[in-house]
Amino acid sequence: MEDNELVQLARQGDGGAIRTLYQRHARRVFAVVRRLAGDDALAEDWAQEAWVRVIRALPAFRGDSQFSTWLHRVAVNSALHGRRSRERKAGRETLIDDSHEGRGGAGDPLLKMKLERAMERLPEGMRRVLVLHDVEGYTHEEIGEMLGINAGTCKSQLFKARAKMRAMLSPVPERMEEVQACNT
Amino acid sequence: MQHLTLEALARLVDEPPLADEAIHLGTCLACRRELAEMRGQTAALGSLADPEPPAGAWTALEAALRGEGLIADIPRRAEIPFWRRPQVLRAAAALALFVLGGAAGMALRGRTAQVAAGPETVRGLPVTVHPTAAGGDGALASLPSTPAPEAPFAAEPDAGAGNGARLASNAAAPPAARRPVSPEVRRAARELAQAEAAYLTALQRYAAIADPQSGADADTRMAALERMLSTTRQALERAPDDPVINGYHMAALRERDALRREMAAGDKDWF
Repeated sequence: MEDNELVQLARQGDGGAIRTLYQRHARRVFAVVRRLAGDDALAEDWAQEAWVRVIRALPAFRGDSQFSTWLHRVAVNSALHGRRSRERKAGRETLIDDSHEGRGGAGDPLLKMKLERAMERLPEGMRRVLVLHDVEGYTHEEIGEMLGINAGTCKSQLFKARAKMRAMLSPVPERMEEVQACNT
Repeated sequence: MQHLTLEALARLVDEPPLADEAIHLGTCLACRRELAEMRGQTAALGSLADPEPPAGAWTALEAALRGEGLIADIPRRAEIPFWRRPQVLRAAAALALFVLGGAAGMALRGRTAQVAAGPETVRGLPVTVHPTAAGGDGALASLPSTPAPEAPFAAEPDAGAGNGARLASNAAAPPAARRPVSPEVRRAARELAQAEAAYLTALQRYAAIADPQSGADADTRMAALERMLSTTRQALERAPDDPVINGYHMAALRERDALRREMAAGDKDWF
């Protein structure tokens, strides 16, 4: 059954249809909020919030876009909204942590795992931009609109985030050797 | 010229270099290599697999939706014709064969076994499965929304033949030993057997890595678990309502959640 048929049933409170939609899209939703959150417990809350919002708003969903696209956008907004609430509660800007150590050399699955964990260690602003751009594929303009920043600031944050990721993942001694080799 | 900074290299992933940067890149192997690494990192980020939601996430969501009255108390199942849900039909077919083949008594219920020869389950942790194959439409159509009675599970070679293997075996048995089965049922049985075999292989691989003697670190174990989850996920795509495969999947999810907690507890200085 297609998503739009399930959506029709879900609008009427059909638990089976809602569950099927959930099973079909839960990983995508959880993935984006998990990466934006950098934290499992928070991600679970935000993912649930996104789903509740979507199911609640189903009667207003006109089907102009695909259900999956709309759901993804709601999930991102839920995560960003959740983040803003938490920041207000904390009452301070997130501090940038410049401390890191380097260790490299990994096969593909391990590299991906290290990428995930390095993303978790990024300052929140950088992580949001990196996740939305490099992982989720949003443009700088779209991200700027979501985050309330201009595209230039978005780019700057992205480049800093990539650089910080690289610094975390690459072996510093190896880079130093290369620098010395180049200078000679 | 000084080496290009990491931020500059990060920009060059998306944008062309300025004139002086292009000249430097033309002569500096280290910066070219670093740029290639940066591009590789960016590409890898774009191809990351989606992590699985934690076990129990649906249960919590369902409760929240019911709390808001967004799920009707009486699900309108009748509006989805049964024959329009091929995955349900296939799961039902597999289960029918399970019963017809007389395998019900050999179900995994309550059985403790081992992933490999030896007295322990995986890392000493019981890996659980919901073996209840019967149970009416609820059991056929969905994951258990409430925890079913759990039994320690493992994959000892004989018991590990599992439902699917038994089903396939029954489907292939001499005519006198079985009732006639349709091609649909045979196909379901074959697929279930393949899914189980793939899962058990992945489980054994994980068990070997999880053994403290193996010296594998948490990242390696997590990678092995992710591979196992990938196997069960693929199986679920073919038989999304199969309670046994769902049980395997949930067990692997729980194991991964436990490992995540373990990793989070010792997360300092992981680089």
